[in-house]
Amino acid sequence: KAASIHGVQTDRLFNITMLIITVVFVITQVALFYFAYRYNESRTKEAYFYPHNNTLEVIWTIIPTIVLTLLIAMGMYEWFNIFNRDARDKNALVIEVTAKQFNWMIRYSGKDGKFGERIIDTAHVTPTNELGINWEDPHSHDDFMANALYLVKDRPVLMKLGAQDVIHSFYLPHFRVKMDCVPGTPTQFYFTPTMTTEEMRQYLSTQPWWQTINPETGQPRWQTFKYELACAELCGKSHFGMEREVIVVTQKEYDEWLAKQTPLYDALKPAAPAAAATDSSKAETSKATAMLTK
Amino acid sequence: MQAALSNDNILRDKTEYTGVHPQKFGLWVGMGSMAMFFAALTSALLIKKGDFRVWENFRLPSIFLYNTLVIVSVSVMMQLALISYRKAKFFAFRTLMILSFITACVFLGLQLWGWHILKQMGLPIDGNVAGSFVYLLTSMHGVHIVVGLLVTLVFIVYAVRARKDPIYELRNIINPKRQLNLELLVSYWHFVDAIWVYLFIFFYMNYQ
Amino acid sequence: MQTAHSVEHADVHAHAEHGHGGGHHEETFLTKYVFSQDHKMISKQFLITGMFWGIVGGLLSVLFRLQLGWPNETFPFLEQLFGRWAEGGKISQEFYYALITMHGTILVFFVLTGGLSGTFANLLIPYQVGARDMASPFINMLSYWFFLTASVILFFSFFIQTGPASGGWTAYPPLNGLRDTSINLGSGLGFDLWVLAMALFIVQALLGGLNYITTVLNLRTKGMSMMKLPLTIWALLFTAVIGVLSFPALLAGVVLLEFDRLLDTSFYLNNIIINGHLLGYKGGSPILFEHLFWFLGHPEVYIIIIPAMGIVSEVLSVHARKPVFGYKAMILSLLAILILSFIVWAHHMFVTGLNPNLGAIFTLFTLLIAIPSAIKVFNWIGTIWRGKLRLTSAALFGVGFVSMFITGGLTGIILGNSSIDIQLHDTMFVVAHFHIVMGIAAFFGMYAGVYHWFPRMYGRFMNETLGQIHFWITMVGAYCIFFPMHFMTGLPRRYYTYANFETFNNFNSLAAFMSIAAIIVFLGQLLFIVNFFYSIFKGRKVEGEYANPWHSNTLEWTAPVARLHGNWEGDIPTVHRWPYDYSTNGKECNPQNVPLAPGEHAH
Ligand code: HEA
Ligand code: HEA
Ligand code: CUA
Ligand SMILES: [Cu+2]
Repeated sequence: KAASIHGVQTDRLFNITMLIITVVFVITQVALFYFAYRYNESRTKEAYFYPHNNTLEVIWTIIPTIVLTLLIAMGMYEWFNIFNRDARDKNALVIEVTAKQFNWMIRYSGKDGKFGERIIDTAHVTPTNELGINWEDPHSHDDFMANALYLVKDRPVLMKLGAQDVIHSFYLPHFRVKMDCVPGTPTQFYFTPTMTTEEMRQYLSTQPWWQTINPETGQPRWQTFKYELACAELCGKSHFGMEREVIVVTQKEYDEWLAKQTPLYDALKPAAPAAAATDSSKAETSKATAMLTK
Repeated sequence: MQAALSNDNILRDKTEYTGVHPQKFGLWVGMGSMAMFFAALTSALLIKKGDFRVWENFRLPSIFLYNTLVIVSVSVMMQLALISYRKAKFFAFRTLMILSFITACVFLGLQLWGWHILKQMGLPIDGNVAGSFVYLLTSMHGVHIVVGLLVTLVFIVYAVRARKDPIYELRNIINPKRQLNLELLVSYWHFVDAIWVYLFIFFYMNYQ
Repeated sequence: MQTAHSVEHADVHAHAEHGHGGGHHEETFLTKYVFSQDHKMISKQFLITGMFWGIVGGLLSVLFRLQLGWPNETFPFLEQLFGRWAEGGKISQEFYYALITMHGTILVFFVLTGGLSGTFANLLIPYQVGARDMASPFINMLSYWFFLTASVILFFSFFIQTGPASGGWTAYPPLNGLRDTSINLGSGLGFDLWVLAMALFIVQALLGGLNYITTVLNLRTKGMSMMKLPLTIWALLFTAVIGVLSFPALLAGVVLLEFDRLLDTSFYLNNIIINGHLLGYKGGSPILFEHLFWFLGHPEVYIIIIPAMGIVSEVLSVHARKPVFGYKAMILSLLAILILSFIVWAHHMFVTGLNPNLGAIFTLFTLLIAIPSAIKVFNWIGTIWRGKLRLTSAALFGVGFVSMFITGGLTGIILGNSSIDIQLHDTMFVVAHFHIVMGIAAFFGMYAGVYHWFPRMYGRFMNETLGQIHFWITMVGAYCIFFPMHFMTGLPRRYYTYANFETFNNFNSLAAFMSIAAIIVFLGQLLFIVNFFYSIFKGRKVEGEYANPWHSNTLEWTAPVARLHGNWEGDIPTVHRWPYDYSTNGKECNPQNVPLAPGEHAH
């Protein structure tokens, strides 16, 4: 069951399409094999010379055209709903996720709700500051990194996606979300989760398969259910291992969690940027493209 | 035997269907394909230019303009060589072929010089993409020139060898096959020249 | 390059002149079997090289299915075979990705493009249009030699230190764009070899393609107007056109990629950070490569399926003893597919951050392709309706093709809808889609062709019983492998194991079942190989000097069974009627070279 607003819609579209193609599938396969059987050499004396029939051609051009027009229209409607920037909530939670081999770096903007600036040049990007955060920007002082992706139920979220080394893809199977993370080119995805992890467990506890016992844990499967983040673009030898837990909570629980986080700035005591400039990279530091995240 | 060949298209100069020799037709298809290759490369340039802030424009060194004249002269000479061949003026033919060959080599040399100038302008191949594209397109075009040069060389070797034997030389013109081959070669040169002119105009329009 | 041949081989045609008219001139082993310029021999060379690759590609899939089916088991024999690639009897991660990459590359390009088009275009174009050979037999030979060189290089890349390419058959940068093997083992020398092999392969496809186009358009025999061409020829012609127009884009794509890799340009790379070190690339975009790749990549899948469609149209009509239904509609729908195939490529890129408006346009065009496809499907069904179908192996594979094409094509409709594809992109659903519509359907088309034209190639039949067994194993087995994949909803593809995810780790027994089916299917294909080589030497001979074993109308069967250089001894037959005059005019079979009966009118 999809756990996001648009996910429910695309699932519906999937089911409608599936229904249509199942019908087409059955009709055509049955006709094909039945004719192959019925008009087999041993059952017919003579083939019927029947080279063409334009009316038939027109019919079987028009019918699929109508069906497809419908599917296209519904698909586009949904598509523009998902990517309509104007209809976005200004208060959406903004989370920045940067993928690298083979990990996700999840950054929250902290109490002030603003991300510290990131500058991609050799002075800022160092092994201790892979994201190139500009510590001079006060907004960066309360930003923190999270081990799991915390989302709030019914609160729209805007994922700001990027990658360090190669292309990855941010994939939340339960929320029907997927968007590539491309090095050097920012992407984003906007969606609204509709069920907390807990609610999803409750829902699943009514489903037969989820009630079965998982031999590894010895518990019913629904009890250990969790939302997950996966990588969906081949990114190297451990592509299959980029797992992160996704936790959907209520606003209240989220606020509590938020209060407990230590900002990265405090945790790191940023090293002097000058020290890192001796880096072996060949880039010139002067003209840097800044990726501003607001 | 002759009757048996009555509808063998493969032996004709022209086919009734398209009115050209099939191998010439084949060359055209090949040209279409090579044109697609350059179309793909130049559209890549347009995409890059259009979509990124990092495109650093510059003025194309004028050497490429002069070089356009050089390559166009190759085309002219090749055409003249073909005409002399048809008129059985073998001395002129040989000379023109050799001259074209040398001129095309000069063209390549000047392209290299053009790279050198670019580098001095602070545009090395691994610098800004705007510069890299010039290297890319000129080198890909250069590969086509080199192929043309190799084939031309074979023609020259044949022609120079035949010089010693006037009878052999005469038989050459009678042999329509030889003439066709030469026509194909000349068309190929016209084509690579045209590609350069296209590239030059393209550069001219996109780098100011 | 096109003119390169002319000088040294100005005598090519003189050669052809000697070849036919009965009077054979001396041919050495080398000129006959190795440096042959005869389209029939070149076709066999393509076929057999393709088979070799088919076995290799299939074998690779069996290897990685072992890992997918039994992620927790070890297979000690693997370590004996592959040493450090399978330490402890378990396929290593790097090896797994090398396997799937090469599996995809080999089967898509070397088997179903080189092998399929190479075999049937060479065999059928001169025969069916009534020509003594290709427009340029020399270029035709070159085309094969480029193919072979590409094959040797690709095969060689298995044996180098860092192994073959392992960044997916789609070769996306930056994974494949940096020569640093610590990022991806296969993107060192292995990937350079991959690019070299692909470049030679592309040259092969272009040289072949221009010959096919030229021959069809120029060298048709008297009376063979375009509207009298068999559908196989139409299909092969369209395929060649697609290839000639789209392969250059891939060439451009990989040239840029090698520039980035070897010369440190930044066409595709921008702000790459490895372990906190910023590399000096600036301003490139990996998405550009995806555009160039898919501008070929999508037409490529039609390069694979269209020849199979042509073969199946012909085979079904011959064996159903009935004209192909809607000949003109078949041609027009092929043409529509050809055109549409160039404007749908970004449906592979819906979730790359593409502009949503573009996404919508590509959805529109993608789904439109279903219309010409529908026309074709209904016409095939119409062809066997009220026919008199001989269920030979060839016909069975023809029917199987239609079935698989429907199944796989219909899931394409789901994927083509961008909003649904958000969830399905790069999941097993896609893998199911393309294996059924490409892996299986196109293979079926090829098998139908091989069974059907084997007598033409070797003057003997393939064993019918083995053929039928081969069909049923493959048909049932292939559905067993790939149908269940549709239900693995949401499982990402290119996963070495699903054990790291609670969400995905529920399909182990199903995966094992699929792996068993894959092994059986693979063994089933070996049956075909055995049948093929056995039949070359020991198969039942076709009877008569001018045998037409399937009572087919097309010209290839008017040439003598002994395969002459130049195809026909005397005149090339003149064509009087369209190729599908079956069961009319009082006769079941009315070959194209038979003049119209009084009062009969042409089609
Ligand atoms: C031979 C190869 C072949 C063929 C013919 C097709 C045919 C089609 N393909 Fe497929 N496709 C591939 C090979 C092929 N594909 C491959 C290899 C990939 C993956 C590449 C990779 O990522 O590695 C892929 C991936 C792929 C994607 C990207 C998925 C993703 O990665 O997210 C999409 C999305 O649109 C798609 C769509 C289609 C469509 C709409 C067709 C249509 O042409 C199908 C048309 C046919 C029919 C529809 C059936 C017959 C019609 C009827 C019976 C009529 C009635 C029907 C209706 C009214 C609906 N394909
Ligand atoms: C035409 C293409 C083709 C064919 C036939 C196949 C055949 C098979 N494929 Fe493959 N596959 C791909 C193209 C193909 N595949 C591609 C493009 C990918 C994506 C790669 C990537 O992600 O980069 C892929 C990926 C892929 C995966 C996903 C891997 C992953 O994402 O982790 C799997 C998993 O099960 C798989 C399995 C199989 C199996 C079991 C077969 C079996 O059907 C195999 C049985 C064997 C044969 C069908 C060959 C036998 C042929 C002969 C013996 C010769 C006959 C020859 C002539 C007549 C000339 N394939
Ligand atoms: Cu990260 Cu795949
Ligand atoms: Cu496609």
